[in-house]
Amino acid sequence: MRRTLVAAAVAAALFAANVAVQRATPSPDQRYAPIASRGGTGHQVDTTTFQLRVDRVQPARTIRMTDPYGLVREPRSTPGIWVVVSATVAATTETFQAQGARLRTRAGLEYEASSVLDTLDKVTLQPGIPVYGPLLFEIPARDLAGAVLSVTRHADGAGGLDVLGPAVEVDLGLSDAYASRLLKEMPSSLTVGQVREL
Amino acid sequence: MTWRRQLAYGLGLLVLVPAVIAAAVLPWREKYEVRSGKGGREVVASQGRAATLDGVEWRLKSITEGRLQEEFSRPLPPRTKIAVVVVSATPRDARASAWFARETGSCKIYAADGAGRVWERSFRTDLAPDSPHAVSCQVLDEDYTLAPVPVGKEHTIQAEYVVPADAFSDLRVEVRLSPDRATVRLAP
Repeated sequence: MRRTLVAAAVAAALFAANVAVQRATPSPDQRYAPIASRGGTGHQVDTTTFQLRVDRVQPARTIRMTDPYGLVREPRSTPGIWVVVSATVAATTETFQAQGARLRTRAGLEYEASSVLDTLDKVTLQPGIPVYGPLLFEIPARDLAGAVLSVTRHADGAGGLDVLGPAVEVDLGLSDAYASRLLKEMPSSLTVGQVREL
Repeated sequence: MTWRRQLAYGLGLLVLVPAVIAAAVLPWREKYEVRSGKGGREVVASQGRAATLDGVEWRLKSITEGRLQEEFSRPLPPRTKIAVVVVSATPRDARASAWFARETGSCKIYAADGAGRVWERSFRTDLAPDSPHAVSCQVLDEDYTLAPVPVGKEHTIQAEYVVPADAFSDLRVEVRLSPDRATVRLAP
């Protein structure tokens, strides 16, 4: 009788452990997601292949890009708002492209960086030569609060994002109150500077 | 259960657990190497010696400091130098000779330092004067079609890099070949 009880208890424990393992098994999305290092604005976030620091976040109704000669181009509009994330990025070991820059909203939507040229996600960074510049996103104004910047590197070998490689996630610190204030004080036009090597 | 039986179970577990883990992990290694471009065969040579891979003899000819060629060139990033690298590739047999005319695959030349940092070549045209060297491993004939390099003939390739000034004195070269997944490492 006692052995039967022990066997039943062991069977129940094993079943519970089995259920726990099944539940703890990462989903395919989690398994294939990059390994992200997290941080906040103003702080350098390190990964094995690159470092990133978000220096400033500014929303705007229209933007005006600066060309390589310092001339300011015509204003660009968007159906939503522009979010200009000014950041410093440095490759540490190999050349790096931040082509996987996305803005993830509180609702889980992900906005890819705008296709506007001459932004930080379009340049190839070489190790030891940090670069400062803008990342541009076009999002609905209501999605600004709680937005998180996610940057994945572009893979050399695979011709796409390095989904098995490192990534950075930066909480842009856009609380409801702060985002609301930024939107209220948002300039109608913002001049965006060039990418520059530091 | 006797202790012998327990020992047998224990030893069985010692074998099975690593085997299961290896079966789950090892298939990812090749995927990782293919996706990241890392791994594969490596040959190494230093002090002016040649490294031979699949019948092609690779040699680092020189690493010299370049300078901007035009007065109004875009300035270099702060605290950087121009590295002008010349590498030679000499086929030693017919198969290696034909390798230079292949239409698929790539041969990328990188600058690297002792700390493991790797730089891609710059495509700026104002970093070095015009040179008699080729810009890639492939050779074009007068009709602009791919041509083999004759056995024993040295094919020289020049590439320019913008690197941090602190890395310049420690530079070496990596030639990465695909789809062979092979790397030739050449040190001065």
